[in-house]
Amino acid sequence: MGHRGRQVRRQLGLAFATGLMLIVSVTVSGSAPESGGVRSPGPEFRFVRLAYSDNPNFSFGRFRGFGGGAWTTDAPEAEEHFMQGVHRLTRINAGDDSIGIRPMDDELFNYPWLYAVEVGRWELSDEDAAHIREYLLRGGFLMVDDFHGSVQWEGFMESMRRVFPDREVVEIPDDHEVFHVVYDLDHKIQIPGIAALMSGRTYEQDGVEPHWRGIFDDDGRLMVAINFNMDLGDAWELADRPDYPQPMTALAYRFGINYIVYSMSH
Amino acid sequence: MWEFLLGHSLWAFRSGELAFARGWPLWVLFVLGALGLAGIVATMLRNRQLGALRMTVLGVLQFAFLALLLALLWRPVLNVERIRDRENVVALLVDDSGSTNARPDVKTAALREQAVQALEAGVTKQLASSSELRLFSFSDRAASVESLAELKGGASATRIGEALESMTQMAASVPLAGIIVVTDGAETGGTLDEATLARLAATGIPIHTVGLGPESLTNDLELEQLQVPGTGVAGETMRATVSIRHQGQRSTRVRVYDGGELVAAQDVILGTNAGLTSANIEFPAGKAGLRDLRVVVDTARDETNVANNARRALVEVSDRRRSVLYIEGEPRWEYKFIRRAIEADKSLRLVSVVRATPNRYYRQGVTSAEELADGFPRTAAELDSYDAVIIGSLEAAALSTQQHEWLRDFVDKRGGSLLMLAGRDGLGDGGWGRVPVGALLPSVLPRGASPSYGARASQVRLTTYGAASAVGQLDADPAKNVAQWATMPALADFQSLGRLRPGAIVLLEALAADHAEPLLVTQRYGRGATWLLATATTWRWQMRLPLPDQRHELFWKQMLHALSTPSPAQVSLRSDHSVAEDGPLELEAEVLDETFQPMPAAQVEVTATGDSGETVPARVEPSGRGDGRYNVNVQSATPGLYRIELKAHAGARELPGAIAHVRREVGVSEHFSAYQHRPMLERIARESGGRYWRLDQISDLPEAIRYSRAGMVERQTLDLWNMPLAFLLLGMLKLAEWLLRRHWRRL
Repeated sequence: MGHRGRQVRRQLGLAFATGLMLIVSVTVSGSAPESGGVRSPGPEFRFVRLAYSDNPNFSFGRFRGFGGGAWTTDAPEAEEHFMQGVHRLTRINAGDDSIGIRPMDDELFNYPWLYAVEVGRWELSDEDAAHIREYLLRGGFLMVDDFHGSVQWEGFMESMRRVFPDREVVEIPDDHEVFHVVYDLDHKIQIPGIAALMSGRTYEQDGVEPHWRGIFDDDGRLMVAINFNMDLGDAWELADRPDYPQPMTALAYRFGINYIVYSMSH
Repeated sequence: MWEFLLGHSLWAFRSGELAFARGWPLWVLFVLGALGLAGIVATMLRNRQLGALRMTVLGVLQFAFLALLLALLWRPVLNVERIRDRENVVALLVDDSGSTNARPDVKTAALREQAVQALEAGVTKQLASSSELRLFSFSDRAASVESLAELKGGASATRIGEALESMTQMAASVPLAGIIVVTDGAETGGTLDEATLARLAATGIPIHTVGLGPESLTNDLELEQLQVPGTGVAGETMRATVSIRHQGQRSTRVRVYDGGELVAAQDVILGTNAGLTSANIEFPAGKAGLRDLRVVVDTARDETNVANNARRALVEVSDRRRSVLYIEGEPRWEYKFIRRAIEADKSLRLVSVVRATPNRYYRQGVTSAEELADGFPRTAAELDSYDAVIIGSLEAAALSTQQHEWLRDFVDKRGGSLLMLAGRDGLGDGGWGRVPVGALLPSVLPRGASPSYGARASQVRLTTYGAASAVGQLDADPAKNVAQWATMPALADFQSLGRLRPGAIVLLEALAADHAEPLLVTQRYGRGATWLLATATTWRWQMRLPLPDQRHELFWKQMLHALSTPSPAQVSLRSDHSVAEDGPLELEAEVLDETFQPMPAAQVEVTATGDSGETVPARVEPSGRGDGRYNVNVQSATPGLYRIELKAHAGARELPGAIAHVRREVGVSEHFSAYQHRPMLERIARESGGRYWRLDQISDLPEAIRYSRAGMVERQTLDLWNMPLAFLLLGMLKLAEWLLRRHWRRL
């Protein structure tokens, strides 16, 4: 693939992302009704997807050739289902829908919680990475999900190293607060994507072992929660499907809620 | 010369009233003047060949001559009041404090010597020739002297107000015609306040002030003000605010010493447009114990007065961190970012509980499994163990009636602070206006059915009160501080606080569109204070400002310090000034019982020990107001560090004790503000009916005193018709007319 072709594909991807974001934004702006002369402040928590560009070197399968869009994986059902759970199980004033924001968008700083899916395929430029780094160090929180095996890990790390060249990715210890802030998540199991599950496995590619990894700030606070070799997004998305195991969906909800409450308290 | 031409003293003209003494009606004068003017005009019209301009000039000269002549015929006089010779007293008060030893430069004499020289060059002699001249010196007190040669200088304080008041008291027994005070105006005893000025003015005795010394110092750096919190917590980083007066220097270095050990140093850029620059210097509080701080400004090149480059302060550092309880009704970003903002502050312990789910209180900062297990303290005593409470988006109904009463007593009796934050279940929307706590708040919260909390983008504006409060200090420089607030990122929400109560103080305002509304409001209530913050999106300051920008953290640190600092202990001993510069060693003790009720009848004993361990006398007296407060006075004039230990008993029951330290310094204050405070001297003179004089002008002073209106005065009528100036004018008018006519060949 020539450089020009890659550039065109990226532009198409960004145009698609921007279009989707605009649609979502319109939905959002219309969701704050006036009451007694006071405009509703809207939800405190918004499910925000990071609208990154695809990495052509790691774009395999369904997104290859579409010039981007991996960031929309499982949308919007995953967050719609998950947010219903957040409403039901917590006191968080959470929005029902989601919003997509590009890495360089200044709006990012208005939403201290960020979800990035299929990050084995993402590509962050140096500018994107600097923006995300600033976002995280100021107090933002990033949850990454749905990437599997050593090849996608490398794809993830290629951009993550640009964000934090000097910070280690470490396994989050079992006694870390993020696993106990609401639910005590002592018994962790691999939460599979539906494709793997249909093929009789819980893992994809060579990602046999699930890993809950993280990147911490200088004060020991978790900034990036890395769900490697698992797919919480599918578990949320398919919560209404009888063939997806309910215990895995329940656990995915619990992980998600713990991540959110942790990010809203640390 | 003027006195020769006018025939009388200029002071007679300044103080007297002009009148005509002939007794003829004034209208006759005007009629004659008008007739004369008509005659002149008629004469001129007959001589038109002169031309209009020349006729006008001659007409004016002729009319001026006529008018002056007529005025003299009516016998103009000056009615003056002047003191009766040798029947009055004049008090001459000369500053003998240490600051008068200063020499503006090496070639000149000391200020005191300059003053004596100027006074003895005829002034005292003239004064003594018309009145009884009484000489006084003053510094920390006024004293009568036989001659100015007795002035020695070197006294350690200047109490101008007190000295002047003691002079005015003399007027009760002798006819005091005036007071002359020769001073640099550098009051160091705090006796020259508005009330003193009003009392001085009310006596009617004119005070003539003679300014001593230069009005500004060159090549001098002065540490004009040092502000350091009196208490700290072990391990925290503390902040000293210094105000440096300077003239032309560009920068200096400020060093902070604890005893003899350097604990902090910082370069300070001095403002080019202002003579006063403020800066914050951070230093470590260190371990628990007393910090005997000395803050020093580096000396400027060839600086002569280096004694004003340093000041001292004491800080009592304790192991006890101030505790703040934060109860949040739902997970919110504000909660997270408040916690993060104060996490590094070792002096604060933020204990928080957030209702994460309907059945789960998530606690942070607790020290035991039981602490806040139910989401709120289980007893009033447990609540009282905190210094301040923050309540977020939590509906009032979430607390029981008893818990509301505890909260009310926490503020009213315990003396704690309560901060309530905006939120969908906070303030008015949470029903807090309908519970007893609502009566404690600085505003009457809205109780209507429509929500008061909503989305609104607004900028923050610092009010005058906010600029003066510790909460509003983002920068030591006042102008920069206002700018720091003005450039804060916009808030995203706002909650109406309703009608403010009379005692409410607005520290911050939210600016939206064309109006401003209170954003941060506080008021004292009982022994404590309540605060309202009409937003829950200050976290946007953190997220929208660059990482190095610490304004969000600084605001919340200062906010929590302001909330928790005033909280009093059961028994406390404190002084307004940890270092008494040439002043008395005075402290105030407060004794409360276990429920924080005042104990005005407790047995209170105080032991004061000096540097070398010797015991010095100390007196304790109840305030007399029944408020559990006691005035403590340490009676020692020796400079040094004093440890004051208080023991209190209620009958046989021993109450907690308290320890405080104060330092006494002697001869320090005179080195500060050692320049002439002319505006103050002018004000004293203006308000009392006197006059401000420069030292090189005082030869006129005796004559001015003669026309004083105080003391034994007599009314005199001074003739003006025989003024040489009048006859000279008449002659000059006629001479001018003759010369013009000759020039125009029209004689």
